[in-house]
Amino acid sequence: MTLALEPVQDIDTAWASAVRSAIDLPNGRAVHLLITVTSALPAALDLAPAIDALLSAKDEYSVGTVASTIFPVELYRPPAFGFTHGLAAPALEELDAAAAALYNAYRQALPSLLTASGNSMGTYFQRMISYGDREGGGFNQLQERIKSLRAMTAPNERTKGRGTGNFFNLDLAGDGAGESAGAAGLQLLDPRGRKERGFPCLVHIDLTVVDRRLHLLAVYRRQNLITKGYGNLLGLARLQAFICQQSGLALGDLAVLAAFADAEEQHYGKRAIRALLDEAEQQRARP
Amino acid sequence: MQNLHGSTLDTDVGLSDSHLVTEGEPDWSRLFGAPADGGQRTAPSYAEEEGAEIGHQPDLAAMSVAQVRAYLLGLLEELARSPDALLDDELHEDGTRSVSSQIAVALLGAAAAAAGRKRLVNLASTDYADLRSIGGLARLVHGAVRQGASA
Repeated sequence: MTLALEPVQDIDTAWASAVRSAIDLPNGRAVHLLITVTSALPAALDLAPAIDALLSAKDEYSVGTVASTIFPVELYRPPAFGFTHGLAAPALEELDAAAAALYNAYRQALPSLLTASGNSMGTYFQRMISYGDREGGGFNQLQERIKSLRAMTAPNERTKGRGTGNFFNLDLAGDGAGESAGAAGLQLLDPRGRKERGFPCLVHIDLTVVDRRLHLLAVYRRQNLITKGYGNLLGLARLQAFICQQSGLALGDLAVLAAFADAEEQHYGKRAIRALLDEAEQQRARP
Repeated sequence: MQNLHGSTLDTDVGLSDSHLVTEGEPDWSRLFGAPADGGQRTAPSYAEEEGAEIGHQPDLAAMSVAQVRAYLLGLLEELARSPDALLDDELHEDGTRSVSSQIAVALLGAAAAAAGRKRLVNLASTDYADLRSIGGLARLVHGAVRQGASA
């Protein structure tokens, strides 16, 4: 049964709504679950400690670790300003250096990171910044998309500073090999692949710009709502913020479409999940 | 309208949802979850361009564990978005600073680059407890570099 949830304003509410909706379905599983957050950050992150407690009891990765697979926020030093056309050269250099330092630090970490359990196929952020080479020498999709997004709003004769672009059709050719430099989506699954399970669950990120507002849509084959759901939302929200800061676009909607979503009743127990949702409800009710 | 950097702002660019905006510029520190009183730098203090090595190129093989620890602390300062945000309120039980796994792996990568190696450790065969503190990392790096040097 397809579930398109009402758009909400923060990821805490979005996550709780998704879990609550899924857990009411047979076996706690939904198909085509669509979550929309209208202002993805800042999340209150009130729920992270409670979710982490449940994850820790099952020896699962923490919310922060899951989020870092999509955007390693601790390696990014955000300048106090975002990109604008006409930005003074030193400020532009600082902005670019912050992104470059992030890419470089992650590339340096990759050879070690790949030796960790579950990382042999690479990581999401690796595929974004080093597609085609798990050890860091691949194509930097993210950097290219930021360049394209900056160029799209440039106040010149060609673009006339337009602030709307839908690159979705180009994205079908986005094989990450650098052949579709104009594509705004980030392709995370090899279109030539024949695998039937395993990494990656996040297969596609679309970036659509309307009136200079960047909307991000992430498509998951499968989303485990407790083990990964909150961390995924957090990581995606940070990724969206990064692209916005680096490209000078405003934050738009963050949407997550999961072809299959699982509230993981068998793993965590329905009672524990409902207790977590109750905790979420209480936290939202607090002033 | 002028922005802080002297250029003319296109008034539509950079505007965000009203609760995030301060005089037309989002609070980027808050957006990325940094503490309200810090986390942003005002001038580049590390890798100026892509491909630049983070930190210096010390002779790690000649260092003691304590020296490696000091070196890693220096790297942490250069690498971390906001060092205060990376640390637990209390020190790790080994008496050195606690670090997140994300930062630990980044430090291992930077140390490997400084040692001229692609990687120093195999995480699958590493005690994850050693990744929780600067002290644990220093012991890992020291052992790996010495092992490599004597091999």
